[in-house]
Amino acid sequence: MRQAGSWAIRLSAGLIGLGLYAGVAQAAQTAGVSDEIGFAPVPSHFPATQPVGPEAGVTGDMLKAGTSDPARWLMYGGDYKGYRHSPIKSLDPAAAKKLKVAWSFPTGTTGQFEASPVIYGGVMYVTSSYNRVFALNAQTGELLWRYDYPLPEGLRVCCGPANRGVAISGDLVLMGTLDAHLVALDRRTGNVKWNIEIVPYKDGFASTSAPLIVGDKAITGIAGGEYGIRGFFDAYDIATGKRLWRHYTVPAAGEPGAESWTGDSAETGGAPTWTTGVYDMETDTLFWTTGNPSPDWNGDDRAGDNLYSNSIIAVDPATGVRKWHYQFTPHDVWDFDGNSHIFLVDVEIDGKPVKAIAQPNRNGFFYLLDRSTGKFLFAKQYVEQLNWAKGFDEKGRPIVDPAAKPMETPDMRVCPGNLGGLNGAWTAAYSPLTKLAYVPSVEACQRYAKGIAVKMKGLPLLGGMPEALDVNEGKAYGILSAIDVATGAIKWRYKDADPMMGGAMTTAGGVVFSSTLDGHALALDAGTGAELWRFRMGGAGRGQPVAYEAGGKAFVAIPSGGWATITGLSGGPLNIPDGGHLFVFTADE
Amino acid sequence: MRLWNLSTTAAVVAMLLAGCDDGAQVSAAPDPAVIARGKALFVGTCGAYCHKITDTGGDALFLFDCDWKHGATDDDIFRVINEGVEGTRMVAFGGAFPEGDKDARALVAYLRAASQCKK
Repeated sequence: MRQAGSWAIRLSAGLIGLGLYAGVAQAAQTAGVSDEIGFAPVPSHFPATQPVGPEAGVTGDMLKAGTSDPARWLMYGGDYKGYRHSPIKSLDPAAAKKLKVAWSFPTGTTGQFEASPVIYGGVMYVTSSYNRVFALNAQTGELLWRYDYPLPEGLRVCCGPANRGVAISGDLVLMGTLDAHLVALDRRTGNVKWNIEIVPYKDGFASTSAPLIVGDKAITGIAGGEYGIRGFFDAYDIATGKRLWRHYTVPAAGEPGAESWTGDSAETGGAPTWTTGVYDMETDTLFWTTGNPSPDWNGDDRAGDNLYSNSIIAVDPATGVRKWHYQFTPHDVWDFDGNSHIFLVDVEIDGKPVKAIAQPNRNGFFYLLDRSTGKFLFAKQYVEQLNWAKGFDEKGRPIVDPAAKPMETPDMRVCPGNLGGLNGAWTAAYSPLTKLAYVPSVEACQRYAKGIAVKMKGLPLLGGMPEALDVNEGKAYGILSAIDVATGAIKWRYKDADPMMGGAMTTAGGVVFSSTLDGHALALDAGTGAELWRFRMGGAGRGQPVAYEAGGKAFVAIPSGGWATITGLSGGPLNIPDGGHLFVFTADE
Repeated sequence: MRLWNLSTTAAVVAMLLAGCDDGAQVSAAPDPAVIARGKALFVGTCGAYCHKITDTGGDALFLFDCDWKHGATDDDIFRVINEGVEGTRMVAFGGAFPEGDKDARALVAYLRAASQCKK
């Protein structure tokens, strides 16, 4: 394992060697808090002096039970179905109006704070940007242990130093890192149990998502769709970190789907897997999603559908072998990653029960598929503005408006913009009580320009860029839509002056929690969308709310802290500084 | 194609714009085709999640305000493009461009031509 001390020495030596000017030197002194330069903070490690949390570890049955025990929030999606739904009934509209800060905690890092905390045995495990892990007393916020992963120089992170959380199993918490490692920590002490390289990060890879535990395996995807990677997702043995299988999301020559690429374009075809999947316990099926083909905005050299980019893939978790796939955006040239949140939902269509999988996609359509076969059931527009496609054929293939494709001199205002819609960087939620999906999203149309891509391993492979038309004209805004998953109908919409890029969570008490780019925590009535409560946290809302009980009280945790580069692209406030801070609220005395 | 044609109107404009920066070393001004090539490279490689065409903040520097953080001469900018900036997301593009250093110089030309100096 690399040592923290050597990292700090290398940083200092590097700065001196470069003879950098005063402004940079100043930034180095406040490493991790400079908006401009983006240095990683100097890492530290503060293990627990006494073991924390219960002796008994997290079992497979606990994971299968999801959030049914309100004292636990054990995985990114809340449960294997991805609902992000808390059973806590006391978190109702009346309580939401009385929420006050119970405790808060700083991350000490800049960059978007996108985590979804994990709660087990009265301990909260939360990650920050730049791969810090904090174990906190879930009731009081007391720091129990802290681990800062020692990141190297030269990270390949297109879109910020984000991390979305840990997975937990047995006595381990697992985190993917920005240098494409998977690290396992002792949940009781914070000590490193194992640390493995998923793939060399300098080839364009990073890990930002929470792994998913299925049985004795940790499943993790990878980021790198802006660096011309060949995407994959992996299964690792939780006990040892040994890789058990790898599922490539771009076929090799001769494999099914290879015919959907031209020339050697598949070798740098992208299709990253940078968000967390879901798992169907009934059929023992793992569902994972894929992102954009590379280069993002110029498809000239990759004619064809570019399988299996922008797809959902169902696999056998024992082997990683594909059962079926469905591609949301064939031959994407807008950066419409298919990595946004997915839910396993059982619905009734034409009087017949259907086991389905739903996704509010970044391309602006809400999809429902048969999760047994991948058959397309419907896609309905859920964003307010959409014009890149004019509908779908019977097989579920979008009918694209050719004028919406990137051009050297673009003149069409295309909706949605490349950030979505919903984006994989933040979650949606589903309430089995209202049978509504709650989807925070961006309304910011763009022009898409095409240019010349450079093609070299480890370098950005883009081929174009979005021109932030609505942002520049002050027209960008956000919505949180409540969508009937059985029909795609919009039940209600909440509007915000800024794009809504904070995740969502629902409660059995009928409340939806989210956050706003201008720094507010937000509670809405799940049935009507009426605003119940807001609290100014300060930093941009980019994280995933969770709810839990501890010490007889119900708590709601919401991260605060943005990243100016994405805020600028989305149209959010530019004058709010970066800096992560976790807020935990309660209405109980 | 002539790369460094001083006779075009665009070149004169580019020189005047570049001249806004006291520290800039303006050796020559390219023809519109070079600027167009540089723009296509910028659009296809430098924009999106990194350098913006309007100053909307972020970790990747805004490159059109003549405020050069890592040296203001054409050679300085060329060097940063090719060698990157350690400790930032700016990776080294040296050897990656389809037309090699000629493309890196075209990028410099485009940045100069499209810049709007503050004073």
